[in-house]
Amino acid sequence: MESVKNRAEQRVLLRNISWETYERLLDERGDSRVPRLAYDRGDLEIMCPSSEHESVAYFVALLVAVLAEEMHVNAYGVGSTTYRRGDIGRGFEPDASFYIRNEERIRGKPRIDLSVDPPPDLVIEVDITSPSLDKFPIYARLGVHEVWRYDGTRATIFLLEEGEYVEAGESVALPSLTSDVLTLFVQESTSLGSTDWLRRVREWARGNITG
Amino acid sequence: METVKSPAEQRVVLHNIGWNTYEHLLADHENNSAPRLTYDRGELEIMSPSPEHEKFNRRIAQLVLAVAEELDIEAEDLGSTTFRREDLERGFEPDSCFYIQNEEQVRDKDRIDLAVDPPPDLVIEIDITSPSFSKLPIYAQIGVPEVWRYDGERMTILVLEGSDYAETAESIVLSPVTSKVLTDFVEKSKSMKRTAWLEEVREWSRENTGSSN
Repeated sequence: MESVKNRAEQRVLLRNISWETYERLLDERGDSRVPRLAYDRGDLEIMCPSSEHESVAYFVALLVAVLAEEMHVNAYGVGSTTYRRGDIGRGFEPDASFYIRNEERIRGKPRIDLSVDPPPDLVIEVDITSPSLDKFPIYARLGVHEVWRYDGTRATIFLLEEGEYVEAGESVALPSLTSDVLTLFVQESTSLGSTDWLRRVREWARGNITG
Repeated sequence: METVKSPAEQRVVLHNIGWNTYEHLLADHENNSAPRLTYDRGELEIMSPSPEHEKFNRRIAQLVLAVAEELDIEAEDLGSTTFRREDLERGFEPDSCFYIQNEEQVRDKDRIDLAVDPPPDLVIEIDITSPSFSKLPIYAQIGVPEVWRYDGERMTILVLEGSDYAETAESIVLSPVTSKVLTDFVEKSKSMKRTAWLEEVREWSRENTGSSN
């Protein structure tokens, strides 16, 4: 038997799945973070993350918390919350997600309802293996401004511009953070202990954040 | 971008899934042989096979048909037909399956209904990677007499005895095939041309007709 399973996610794609079936699956799976479901007008991807996948998501979320603190910005982490819009037949569950600009509107809400609430300001997507369903069009339709994607080697910051994501020089959600710095910190999270890593992130933030 | 080799199967499992949701999924993705759904009292595995997985699967299915033909036995290939029993809350979609002893009973059927029809006589299961949960208890409950399993290296023949499967050297539904012969042929299929390989399977069948005992 193969051992590659450990590093990679497990993904399956089902086609012609109705919105009703998607909602039933979400309801019955309940509040578990895994597997994660993404839905785009009939296409349903079900993904089981590996431990490496989860670890990257965790450290990136930590980095967001530290940078936000150093910038005196509130970041409200809502993890792998389900975001869905029945009216446009799309839904997703990110590896991590944050409200930053809209933090005050979401703070303390027990549930997010996209018919009244804004989409998250920042979504984290980890793809150690190629996704079977491209989630960027879903994020775009739901109006997510910023996406950070890690592909197993590199982290890239994307910004929504006129309905499409373009690679950004630096983050808007957490200004002065670049894809290169983000990539470096993700790589270091696998070699440094978490306390040393956190210290490095904090030092970088103090040295590079203006204002 | 991808540096990780994709495993031979992609598998995800969902827990606490109701029978109705399983049926909705089956209805939505009807007529697709992949991914394949297995259901056992709330547990739902969805498996997407790789080309490698399907190649082994097809070769083994071709072997079954070729051997049956040489032995002058009817074998109906029902592929990845969905088998389910709501009363048992279990269902599966095999990599391949065959009606052999019961071939006549399903010959004119467009649909298989396990409430009235027999289960397949032979199920093929390819597991290059570990399954999320064992499907043998499902096959056993549904009454599949024989299962051939391939793990990427070895073929195993499992025969239903009471409510459990026991490993045996020789097939009952397709005697005189043995697990050793199957393993050897699958190994050869990795390097041989399909037509030459199939001819070798046929030759072996002719040489072994009636000499199983």
